[in-house]
Amino acid sequence: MKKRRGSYTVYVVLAAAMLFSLFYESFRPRSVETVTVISGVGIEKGENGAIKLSIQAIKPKKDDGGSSTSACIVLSGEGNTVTQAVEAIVLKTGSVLFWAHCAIIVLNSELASENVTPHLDMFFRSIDFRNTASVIVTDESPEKIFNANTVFEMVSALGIRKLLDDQDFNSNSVYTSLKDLYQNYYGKSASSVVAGISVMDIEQNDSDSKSKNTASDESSSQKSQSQTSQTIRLSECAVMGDGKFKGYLTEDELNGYQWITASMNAQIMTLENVMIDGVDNTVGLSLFDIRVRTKPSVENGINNLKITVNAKMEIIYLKNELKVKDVTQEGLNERLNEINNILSDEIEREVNLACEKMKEYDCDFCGIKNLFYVYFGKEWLTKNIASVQEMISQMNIECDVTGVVVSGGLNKRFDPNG
Amino acid sequence: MQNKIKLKAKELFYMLIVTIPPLLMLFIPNYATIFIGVDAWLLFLLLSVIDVIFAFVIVKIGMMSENKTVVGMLRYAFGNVAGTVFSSLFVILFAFKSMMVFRQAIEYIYMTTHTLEPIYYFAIPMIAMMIFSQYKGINSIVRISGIIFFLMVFSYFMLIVSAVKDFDLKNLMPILDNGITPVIQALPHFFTWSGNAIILLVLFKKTEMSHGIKKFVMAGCAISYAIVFLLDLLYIGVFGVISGFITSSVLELSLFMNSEIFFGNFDAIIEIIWVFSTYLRDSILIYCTIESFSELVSIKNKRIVNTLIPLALTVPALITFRNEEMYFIIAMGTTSIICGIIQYGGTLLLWAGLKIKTIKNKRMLDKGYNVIS
Repeated sequence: MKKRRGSYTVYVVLAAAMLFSLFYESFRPRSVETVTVISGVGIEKGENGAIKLSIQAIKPKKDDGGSSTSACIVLSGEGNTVTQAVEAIVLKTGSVLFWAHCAIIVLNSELASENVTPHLDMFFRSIDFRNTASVIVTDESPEKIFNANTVFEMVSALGIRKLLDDQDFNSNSVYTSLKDLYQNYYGKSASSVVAGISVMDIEQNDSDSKSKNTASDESSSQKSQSQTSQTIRLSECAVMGDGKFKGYLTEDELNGYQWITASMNAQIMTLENVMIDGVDNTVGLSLFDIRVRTKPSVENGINNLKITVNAKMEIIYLKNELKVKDVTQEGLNERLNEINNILSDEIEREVNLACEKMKEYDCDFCGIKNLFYVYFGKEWLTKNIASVQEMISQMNIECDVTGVVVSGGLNKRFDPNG
Repeated sequence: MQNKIKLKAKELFYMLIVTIPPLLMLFIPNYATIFIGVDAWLLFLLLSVIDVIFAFVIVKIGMMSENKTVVGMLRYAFGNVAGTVFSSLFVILFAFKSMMVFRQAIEYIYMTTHTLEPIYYFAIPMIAMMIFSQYKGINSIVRISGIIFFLMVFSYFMLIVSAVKDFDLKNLMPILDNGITPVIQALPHFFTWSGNAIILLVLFKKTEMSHGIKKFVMAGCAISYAIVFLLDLLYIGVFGVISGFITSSVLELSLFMNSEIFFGNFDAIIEIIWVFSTYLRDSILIYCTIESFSELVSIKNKRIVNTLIPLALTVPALITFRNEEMYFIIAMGTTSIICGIIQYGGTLLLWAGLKIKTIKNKRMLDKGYNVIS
């Protein structure tokens, strides 16, 4: 009897669930078909001081073969605030904007010259929005960025994110997420470095494969259509201080920033006009497995910053050959030491360039103030209330570089005839 | 319908690891950082130490007074009148905790679905499930923990892996820049979510009090709080000064696991797994409320209270706390201090009472009197 009652319970639960599902629509749920899935968002100045918000929405569709593909659509709206601009977009989509898949936030540099954090507040506050989205600054209109292509992705916002993922690993750009931007903004240095992008024209050759098989004249098989398309590329990284765009960094300054912030992962370095074995040379080095440590210290009231770099390197280019023949062990050691010294000088140069930029922008984008605060607490801050220029000028920055050549490749141009 | 087979110590171990950590990893680290800053991890260290010691005391109580719930224990230790008055405080404590935990669970589910669905769409099935589970009995509820135990452990492990890459020790520094005072001052405001081993004072009646019970319960509590401490530490170590902005707290770490290649939205998997935990946690607390209340007012047939009490606890929780902020203002106010006094103070008193009673009984036995335990 007990067994039967138990089985009845299952039927009752199933019946209740079925009944409940009949009323599903009564609860006015929003399924994925009725929301606008956003892949990227851009903010720029609109007309009459308004905020112009552009979104790139993913538009699922089926191709001729029936398989699902995705294309995208770019929509814009204006308003005095970001939320008003969102409402203007909703008037066009007629559906709720779904931010969870938004991969990038593109800020126009003109708009970013004012504090952008109030404009980004909605995204950071929202529980819909994933704060791993990357923040990017550009001189172009975000609308133009979203309408351009990336080399391999159909949805450009996702393509840009992929670009940044890869370049960040190679240290050619930075991946600053919304989380990082806010974390730095509320930190003692109140500044960040974010990625920059621009649009370039490229020639695209589309060979018409069908014409190859069907066309009667031979010329048509070789015919290819050439068209110009706009493609997105990564450009100089931008400095954001107190939420405002300050300017761009050159490649060397970016390297300096990455040495100071210990965020350098790998680098390819070309050193020109360097003397090795008494010969004027040009050397290409590939640095990898880089480990950087920064150690602040205060001695006799002077702030010191020691940057210790340990890296493995490979010599990938030599203008003038360095022969391995007849080189003694001591001679080879000397040669490697020379390369290490050259590397050390180069890193020091890049660090100094970054420091000069910090002074120029009056912005501690390398987070030095934050670093000292972390080690020495609020007591350090009260003693060091000087401007960034003063702080950098009065600071001793020392670089200790150890580069281990793991592959010299000096026998690559071995001459069998001597 | 009720299962007469008693719970095993191992099942309690599973239950503790499944239900305790998410409670202290959702919203709470966020609010702890608002109050204390990046030193909030110390608060979780303190809470963990207190709660593991607390669990030890609870096991001791359980061993001293078998086959009784907290009401029976209190009546035995302090007599009928004082014991009943004292017990009513524990019933209120269980009821309050049930309400709070339910609202937290609903906020969590609402948040994880990106607010696309209306809140009652989740609340109604959840209440229905909790009422249904009361009819099935505590054994069924606790045994679900065994089923989802490995999923939960997997979720904790993945969160740790996910956080390690972005963890930066500098985010936790400078340590105690404002001294230890803010941490100590904030501690009483988090008692609403601590002292969770209190449920064992009701569950022990339905548990086989074998020798292994101490080992399993202590191991369950120690591991649970180690997970809480580690993940909260990682959370603050990843988000640093902005930890106070991230409502979903530790769950947010799952975002860093998202990958283009395998799991585009890995966080969704963790979110679904944790829904089981929230359901179990609240079902157990509601069970404790029903059980202790029924014993307090001598209700033999629990058919009606099994429906009425879950409704009386969950529906007001939905209406009273209009939003997450309101919920936290109430949960972290005076109620939290009262919670601490009842759960820690009350339990210590009970332990002392039982200890005195045991010594008294021993003396009586030595004198040749019969003792009713």
